[in-house]
Amino acid sequence: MKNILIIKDNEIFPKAIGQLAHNLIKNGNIISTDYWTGANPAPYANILSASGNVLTSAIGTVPYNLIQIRNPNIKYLINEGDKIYSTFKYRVTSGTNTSPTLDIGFYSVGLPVKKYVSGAFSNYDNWVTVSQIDESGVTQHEFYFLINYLDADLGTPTTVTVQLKQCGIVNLTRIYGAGNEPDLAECQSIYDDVWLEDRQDKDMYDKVKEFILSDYANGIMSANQKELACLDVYDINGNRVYDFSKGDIIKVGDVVRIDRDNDGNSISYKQNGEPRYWRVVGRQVSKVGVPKIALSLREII
Amino acid sequence: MAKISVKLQLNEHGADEITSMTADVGINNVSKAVVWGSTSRNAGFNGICIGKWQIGQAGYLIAQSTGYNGFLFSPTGSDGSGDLEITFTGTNIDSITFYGDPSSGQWATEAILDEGTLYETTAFSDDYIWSIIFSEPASSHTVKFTKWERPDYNMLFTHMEIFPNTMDFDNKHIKEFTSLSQSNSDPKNVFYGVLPNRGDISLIDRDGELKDYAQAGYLNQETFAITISINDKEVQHHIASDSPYYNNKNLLELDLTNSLSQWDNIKCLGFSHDFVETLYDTLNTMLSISGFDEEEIDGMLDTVINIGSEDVTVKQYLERIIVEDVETVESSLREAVDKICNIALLQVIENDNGEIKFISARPLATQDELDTAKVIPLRMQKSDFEYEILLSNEYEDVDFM
Repeated sequence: MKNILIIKDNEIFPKAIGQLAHNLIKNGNIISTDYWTGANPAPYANILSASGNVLTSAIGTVPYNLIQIRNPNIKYLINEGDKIYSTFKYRVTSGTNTSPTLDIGFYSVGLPVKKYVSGAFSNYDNWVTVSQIDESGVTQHEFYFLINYLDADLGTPTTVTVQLKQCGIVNLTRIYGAGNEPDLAECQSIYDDVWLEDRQDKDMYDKVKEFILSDYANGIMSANQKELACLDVYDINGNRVYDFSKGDIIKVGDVVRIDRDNDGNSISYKQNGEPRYWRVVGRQVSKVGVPKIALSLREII
Repeated sequence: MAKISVKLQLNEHGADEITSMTADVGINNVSKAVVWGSTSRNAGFNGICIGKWQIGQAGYLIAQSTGYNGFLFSPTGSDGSGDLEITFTGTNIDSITFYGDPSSGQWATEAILDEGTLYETTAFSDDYIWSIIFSEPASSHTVKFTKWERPDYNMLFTHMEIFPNTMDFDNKHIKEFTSLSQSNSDPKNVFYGVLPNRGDISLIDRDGELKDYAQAGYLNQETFAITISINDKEVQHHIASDSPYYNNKNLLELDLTNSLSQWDNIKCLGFSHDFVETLYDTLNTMLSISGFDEEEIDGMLDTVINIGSEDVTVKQYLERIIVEDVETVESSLREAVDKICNIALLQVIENDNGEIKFISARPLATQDELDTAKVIPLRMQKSDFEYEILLSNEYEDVDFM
């Protein structure tokens, strides 16, 4: 029989979406075409492929000279004025084309949060890097990232392709707080590989399940020390952190290490010899004669 | 030897101040106003009486340096009768505590309060500490003492003060206690939500003072806060949930919990938001409509936790979760906050400083916590280290019910 943990449901749970990663773009490292779509609606559909962490979109089988790449349904609350850091690389290969235009933008429903490239295009075969911070002009919670290449000479299929790689978008204001956002140089350092992040806007039902199954995959040890003398406490570097003469005692929430127990057991160490750390989850202070404390402990994984 | 002390919070009094006192047998206007904390008890004062009428004929101020300390007045009659009317003048006077002299065995036993007014009351005392709380705060009150414990002896007070906010019990008064602070009621099990502490304490009420206050109804259960200190540092904050008093032993036993248990009694109105917000905003609404202000709320959410990928504050974590069109039902504050905790895998505890904190309930630690972990050496360990070998919390699935 399966060991199942029951979590109490409530009316907010079904509406909760976790956005725990910094990158708003799903699969920004293009390990496949997952989460990326081509032109919409279907008659304009172009062909997407992913290879070597590069997404390539070529013209479709119907004679519409439209190439589109989307990362749709980004569910994230962006407020007007939020600072948004964007980084990605794109390239348009040369081919047969007539008066093409290229638009790249990050949009809410019909409204551009930011247009990165817009209008007539002629810079073929070069990888172009976008790395900038912009202020959002809208408050919205659903977005899409879009690359739109359009050749004016409809009816004559073009042979160009549009390519994309290393794509990331971060809401700096949500992550760091208004006024504390890093500048562009700092972002380029902090987020030098932000496209590797691949987690955002998951239902909290799924996130909670993922967390619990990860946290308790092997079970969590618990322990008790029923009688501890009230003494000074030192940290692992030998610094005295609690002076009992001043009333300092171990607190609930502290992380502790137990060097050796009374029986000389090795339970305080993992099999690989690493020390096992514990969280103090209960502390009982008692006085029947001299004061003592008892601790309840939970393993930290 | 550790110094253990317990401070009991009594009823709150107003911003009282007594600026003068007038007795019908003399006038003692004093330059130093009596406010809470400005006087020190003078329990050792002995109302020496050399001959029946020789001292304190018209009231006599023994010491004035720390307030109204030590008064002798006219002697009582052979039946203990003796009228002494005192008028207090000041601001917002709602209480006064008189101390008699246990060493000489003299103290007042009967008095008429605010005689001749709508609030006239006859009051009685059976011991040397007498706290009077008037019916209404006012700028002036009268207390007319009419009977005394000891006949043919001077009427006297060793000390007078505004009703104390707190009572302190030290090692001599604390018989024994156990008080629990926790973030998991059972460390084997997984718990998300609001978690009050619990414990118990036995206090010896040496002078019967606490009993007097309890009998007079001065101990308000809702505000009967208890602070336990070790070596003068506050280590736990509780409120009494049950308090049997054993009269023959002058022993008060208190079952303890803490302020979080009151969240069961705070109503959290339901609300409906027709927009997208963060889970922090939702929690903020719950706590705001329950009476907490922005600063208090942010103070509850400043603990740094590990969320698997990085270390962030609880507030930052809750801001990474969005909810659309929230609609909540009316509930207790505890039930409402439990919903947030279940979604974000958090617990709510009260720490040693009496601060309410949201913390992570996941078995993770921040890098800083690991770098500065506390070591429990063998010399501290007076009992075996007990641990669970069979891990019942190895979960293979999660259900939401």
